[in-house]
Amino acid sequence: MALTPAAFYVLAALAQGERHGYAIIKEIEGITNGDVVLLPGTLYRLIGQMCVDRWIVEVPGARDDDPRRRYYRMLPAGRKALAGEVARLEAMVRFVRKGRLRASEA
Amino acid sequence: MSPSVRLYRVLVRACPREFRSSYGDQTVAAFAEMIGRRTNEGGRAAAAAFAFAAYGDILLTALRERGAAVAGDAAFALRLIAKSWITSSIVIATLAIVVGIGATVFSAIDAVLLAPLPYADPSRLVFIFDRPYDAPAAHGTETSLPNALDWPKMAQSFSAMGSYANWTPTLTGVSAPIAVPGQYVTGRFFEALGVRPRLGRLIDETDAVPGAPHTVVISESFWQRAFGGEPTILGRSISLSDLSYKVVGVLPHSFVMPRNSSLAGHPSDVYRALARNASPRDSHYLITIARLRPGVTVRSAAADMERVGALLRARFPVENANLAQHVIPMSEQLFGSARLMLAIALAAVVGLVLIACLNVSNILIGRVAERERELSIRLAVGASRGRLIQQLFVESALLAAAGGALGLGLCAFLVRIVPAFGFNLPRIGAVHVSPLVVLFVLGITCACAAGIGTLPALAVSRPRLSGSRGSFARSAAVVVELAVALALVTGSALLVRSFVALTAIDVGFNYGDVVASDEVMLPMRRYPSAGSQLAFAHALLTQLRALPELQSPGLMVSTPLSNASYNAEEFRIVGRRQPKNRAQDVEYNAVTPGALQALRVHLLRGRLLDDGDSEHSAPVAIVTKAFVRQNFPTEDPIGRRIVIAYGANPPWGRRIVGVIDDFKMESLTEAPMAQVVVPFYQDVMPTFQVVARTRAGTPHVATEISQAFSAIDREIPATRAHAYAAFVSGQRSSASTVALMLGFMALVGLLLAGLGTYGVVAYTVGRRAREFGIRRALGANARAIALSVLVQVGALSGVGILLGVVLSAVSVRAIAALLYEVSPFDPLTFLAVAAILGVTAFVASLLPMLRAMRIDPAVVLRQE
Repeated sequence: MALTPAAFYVLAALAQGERHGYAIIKEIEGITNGDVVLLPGTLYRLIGQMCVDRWIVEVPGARDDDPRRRYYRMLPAGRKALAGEVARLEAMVRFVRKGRLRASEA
Repeated sequence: MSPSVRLYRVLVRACPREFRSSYGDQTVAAFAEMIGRRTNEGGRAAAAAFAFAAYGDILLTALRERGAAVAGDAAFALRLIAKSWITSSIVIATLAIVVGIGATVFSAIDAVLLAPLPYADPSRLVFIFDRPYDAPAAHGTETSLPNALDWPKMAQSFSAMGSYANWTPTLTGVSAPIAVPGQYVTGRFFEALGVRPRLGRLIDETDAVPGAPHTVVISESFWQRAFGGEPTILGRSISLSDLSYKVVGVLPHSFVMPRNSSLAGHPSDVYRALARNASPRDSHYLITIARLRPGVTVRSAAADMERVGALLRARFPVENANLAQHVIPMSEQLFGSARLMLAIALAAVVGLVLIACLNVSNILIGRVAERERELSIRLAVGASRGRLIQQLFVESALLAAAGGALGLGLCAFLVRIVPAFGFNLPRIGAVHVSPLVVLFVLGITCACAAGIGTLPALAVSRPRLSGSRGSFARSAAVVVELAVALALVTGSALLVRSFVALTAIDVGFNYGDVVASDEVMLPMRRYPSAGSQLAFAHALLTQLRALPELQSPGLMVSTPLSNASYNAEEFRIVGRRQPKNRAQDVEYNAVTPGALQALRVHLLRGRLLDDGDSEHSAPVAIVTKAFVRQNFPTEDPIGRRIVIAYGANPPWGRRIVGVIDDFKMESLTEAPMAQVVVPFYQDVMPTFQVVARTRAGTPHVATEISQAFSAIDREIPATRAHAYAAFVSGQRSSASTVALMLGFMALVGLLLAGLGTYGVVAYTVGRRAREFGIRRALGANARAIALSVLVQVGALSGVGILLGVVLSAVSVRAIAALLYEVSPFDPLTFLAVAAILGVTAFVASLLPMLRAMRIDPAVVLRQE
């Protein structure tokens, strides 16, 4: 099943390594030049669900960090879900490009 | 902390506790950082836009999280419901039954009371009746045309006033002449009701001018039936009782007469104007309706009519002697008794729903007790009580929803069969499942969900985790169930008793095997004189006597308990000075030989009428016992002379030749009326009914009677005949309607209370199994065990019955108005009902008691 865009962004950020919630928001915002802003409620609801589904897991943060910050790490199931979504998106991108090619030929 | 973050923190509280404890702080922290960055980079506008988006987001999150929690609870509850499907089915069936009954009662209320009257602004419509001036509480009666025409001229409270009276002309000029139910109306009748024509115009003042051309307005259904709905009907002439009437308009389909008394509930089909000079001031036959002016109350209108009545009494001291008026809102006059009946039914529904909810609560508490271990563990590992209670309520809501849905289905079925019960309620035929009924079911379902969830929730929320969870709540529930059931049974028992009392009333005549025709009205055109009417009556009786199936056929002007009785218009005792208006105290009737014999009235003295009492013999009269008590308390009435008259007949001096026992004329509960019965041949009338005794089937006899009419005159419409018992049972149906409704609900309530008692006793016996086993092992016999179960049952039902008696004593006042010859506090009924409840509780506890007696001490001790 296709992921929601928000879930895709969360998994994409966590694929880079362990992150805390706000770091995920900032990273996605940076990569998309501010086009995609994850809102806190949506983000933590997703994180909660992914924890229950064992896609990600909470890990202890760095010792010198703010103790309120909670860090999350991707688990194999999450990696698999992200890989599936990436493959779907790649296929879609190919499909769109092929169509555009034909249109320009004609 | 900035105000926007503070607001965000408040909004986060909308999320369920699980979410908040895991992510609450982080969510707020993330929001604070994000809004801070935006304020620095994009200024206030950007920050505000973001804040709004984030507020929406957190609220949406809260909603989704809560939805997920409820969905999870629902899935869990569904598993529980499926697991104990037997008790679940009992719960759902119980709720379905009470919701179904409740919804049916409500749909009756909807159809009978809530549906508006089919007139413009009906709340401003009133009836105006005559009443004796010195008896303000007396039943209102019809008024005369001159009075009805003077009222609107003299009164200031009404924008329009109109009157009507029955008119049953014969439609002639067609293959078979038929009697058409109709109404005489005064000029502003339709205006007062605010009716608009479907076609053409309605009867108005121009039609009421003396000598105006004959016009008629017809009903929509008559237009369709008799004229195929042809629009060319306007301007056509139809022949009614040998007179030609021009059709000027068609009424809309929705129109009904405010009080339909013509042809036993048949809708009226033809309406003609009553000419302004049609009848004298002392001829009372019109029902009057009026529309209040805006802002005028019923009370001030009544005061206004009080003034008008006084003026008319002064101006017409003879005709209007002792005459005053009632003003009563139309809806009250039409639905007053129905309102009482349905209010009682609704109260019974509330009682029934309460019993059902308590019963279901008890079952659910039992389930909670079974889940004791699971609940304790969940509490121990940190689940909040609130969470458990939410889960219990979700389960209750699911059960209630299933019960409500099935109940709605049951109601859809019940409303179809309700009209077949012959409930004596206006408009009951229109009962159906309206959107309002669905809304009611929704409401009652929510109430049930809350009701059945509360006791189990209380049981969970008690801090004690071990021991007898909810056993006090369960006992209390059963006590209340028994009490409410007792009140229901008491109410219905009182009603059944008064119904039986009504059935046992001696009506003073014997109507078994008696048939009666509808009222026949000889067309005045063809039978203008007493002589021609007399000839018809003689010929008819000869025809009827020739029919072998009929015994003692006769004609009767006013038949008992089937139509209105006639007040004498003139009455005095020869050789005695009489006060004015004594005629009102005496009922007049005229019969041919055979009629009194067919009804088997009891002859007390003298003789009944026979063929010797003809138009050529000396005028005679028969009187009733009440007449003798009123007029000759100490003298022998036989041989005394009286003068009595009604209608166009001259006031003959008559000799009393017989005394008969009293018989009921208008209602079963009336006091005996002074009546005078004169020979029809001496006082001929153009309207009468046929009565006869028969052993043959009514439809066959009805045809024969009808043929007897047409054998004499083909233009007389076919008359219908009915078994007399049908007239009389109509008189009893008010009492039987309520008795039936309440009796049914009481039965359901009693059954539920019994089941509830069974549940609690069975549960206690289960819990005390160990105790009983040990007691048996120590030498107690089965009887001692049974006794301790009985003590529990006795305590429960004792308290329940006591509470129920108090509840009944308070609530029976409501039905006091419907009781006949039974006191609402009838001790015998209260005792009997208490006994019924006691027996029910005892029977309900028999099974658990037997189980307790059979407990094997060895088995119990082995479990230790």
